[in-house]
Amino acid sequence: MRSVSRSRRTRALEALALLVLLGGSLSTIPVLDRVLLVLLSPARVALDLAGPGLGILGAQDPSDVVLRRREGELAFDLAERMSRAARPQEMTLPFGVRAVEAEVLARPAGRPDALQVLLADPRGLQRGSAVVFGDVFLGSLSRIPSARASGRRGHLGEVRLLTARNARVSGLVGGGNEVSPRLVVGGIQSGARQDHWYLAVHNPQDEGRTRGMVFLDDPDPLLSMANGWQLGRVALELDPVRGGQRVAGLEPLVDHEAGLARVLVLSRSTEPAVALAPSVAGEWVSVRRGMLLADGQRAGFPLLAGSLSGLRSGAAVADGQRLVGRVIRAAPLNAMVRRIEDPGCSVNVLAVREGDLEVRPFVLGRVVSLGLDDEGRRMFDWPGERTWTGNQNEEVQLWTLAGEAGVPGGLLLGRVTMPSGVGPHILTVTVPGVELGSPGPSATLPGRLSVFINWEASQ
Amino acid sequence: MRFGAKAAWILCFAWCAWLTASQVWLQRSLGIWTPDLGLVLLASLVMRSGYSSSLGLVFCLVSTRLAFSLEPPAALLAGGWMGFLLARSVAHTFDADQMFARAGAAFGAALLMGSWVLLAGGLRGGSWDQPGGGEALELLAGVFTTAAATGLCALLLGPVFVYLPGLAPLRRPA
Repeated sequence: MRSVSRSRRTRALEALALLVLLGGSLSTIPVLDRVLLVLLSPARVALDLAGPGLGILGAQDPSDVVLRRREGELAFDLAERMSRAARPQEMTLPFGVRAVEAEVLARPAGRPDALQVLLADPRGLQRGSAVVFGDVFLGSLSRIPSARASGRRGHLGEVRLLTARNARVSGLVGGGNEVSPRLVVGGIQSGARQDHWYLAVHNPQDEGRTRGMVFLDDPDPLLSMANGWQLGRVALELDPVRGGQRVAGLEPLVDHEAGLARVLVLSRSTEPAVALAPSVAGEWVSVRRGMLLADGQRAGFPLLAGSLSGLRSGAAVADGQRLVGRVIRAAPLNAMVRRIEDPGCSVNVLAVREGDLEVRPFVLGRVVSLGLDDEGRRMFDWPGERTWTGNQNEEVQLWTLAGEAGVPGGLLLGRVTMPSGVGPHILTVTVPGVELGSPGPSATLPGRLSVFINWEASQ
Repeated sequence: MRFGAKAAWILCFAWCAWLTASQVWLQRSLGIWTPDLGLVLLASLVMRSGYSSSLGLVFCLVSTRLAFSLEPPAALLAGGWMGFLLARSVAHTFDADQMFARAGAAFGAALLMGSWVLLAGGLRGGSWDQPGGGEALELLAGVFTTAAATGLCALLLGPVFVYLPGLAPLRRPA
């Protein structure tokens, strides 16, 4: 009798566990995934057991050394360009005000209107200090650096963007009027569509004359350092009640979602700010990879190191300066990488014309992989909300853009011929030095790859 | 548990790892016609021994698969477990050494696990780690082809898998 009831209990427990697993399969339950990764840790042993196969399955060291050295130089140029793009273009800093460089590390989880930044020089910064990008006002510092990040030369801070629901600043309409109408700007206009939105305008002093560019003009002593910086351009829409046109909101001047990699924080000081070193955002660790995997359409490979070595989900994996993929999960002793050509894998990118350092990089935003085409070229879906401003059918390089946890700026995705017109577009990307018709850009990889670790970024 | 049984489970894990690695290697030439060798081993052992409840096999299969697969662990574990339950049901219904029953069990387990992992991948909400699209019918056809290859492999090579060195304690009837 006792054994029958134990058997029933066992079966009930099995059924319950299976139900939990079925539920956990269909929706992401982070705790369950983490527990299972620990429970299934012996997977690491399986990789060691299968290790000898690595030699058979194409571990290759790069042969195109010159090309790769050139890519390293281009990445260095790109960092310089990004730094230059963040500096004021037409504006000049008021006397006694300095700009402190900050690299965007990530968006804190669940707060799309905040940026986690790494600041080069925290002296003089206060909560509420103005944050700008080029000539555009972005928001204010909401969390000031409190402690030196261990082992790093940067300091963590947080920026609240003007898109936040309760953000409000005073603005002034430009355009050479005798008396410029004032207005309040902040938050996103209610009823914004997913593909198009405006900064919300509140209480415009004279709606009929609210046209053109709007500039910051705020009495707050910290924000006033950025008075004169641009907030956005007035967008108009039809007024269904009174007829004519009414103010819909302000057209944003930068891509708040994906286009912010480096920003400036204004503070009062006459001493020049310390420059931001390119390497402060994180560090690269060299990790041995396992056998390449081709599971149906999926493309990835395991790594023989895991969370105990600092690897986190979302971290970029690179071969030299080239982006190979991103860590999809990290168990304590092993991790799995999703290659960038795996359908659905996505990353924020910008387009750069080689050689011309004066031209600002063009932010494409998020591109999503569609897999490889018949000739082994990477295909990406690009929403193309902003039209390409360069020449039609111009060949450019695509590089990653900082601002996403685990992904640093300056990793090469490949070359692409830019399409013209409004998107969506399909970008066909070729990787330099990879012959068309070969198994694919990542089919042969060296036995060791680099994984980016930024400890400070919230995951 | 006696030493022999412990050693058998360790060897079962090692065989699962080598079979999964071989499967990855075979995929380069056979593509979707590559049989799921881990499931062939599972179905063959379950049919031979008639296990009523042994999650050790599922654990060996899934933990080694996880090392080589992009799919989420919960989906793999649930799929592997359902495949095991199906094979166990077939084992309870048919004689232990019926080759077609063994092939059917392997085919069903591969179809169930493959479809479930595909469904789970498509339905899991989330961010950048979402699997991409692709024609659902095309993907299902791939799962079906792999399942057919798995069944065929179990039909022809099932006894070889059962008699892999070191697995003797696991093939004894429960």
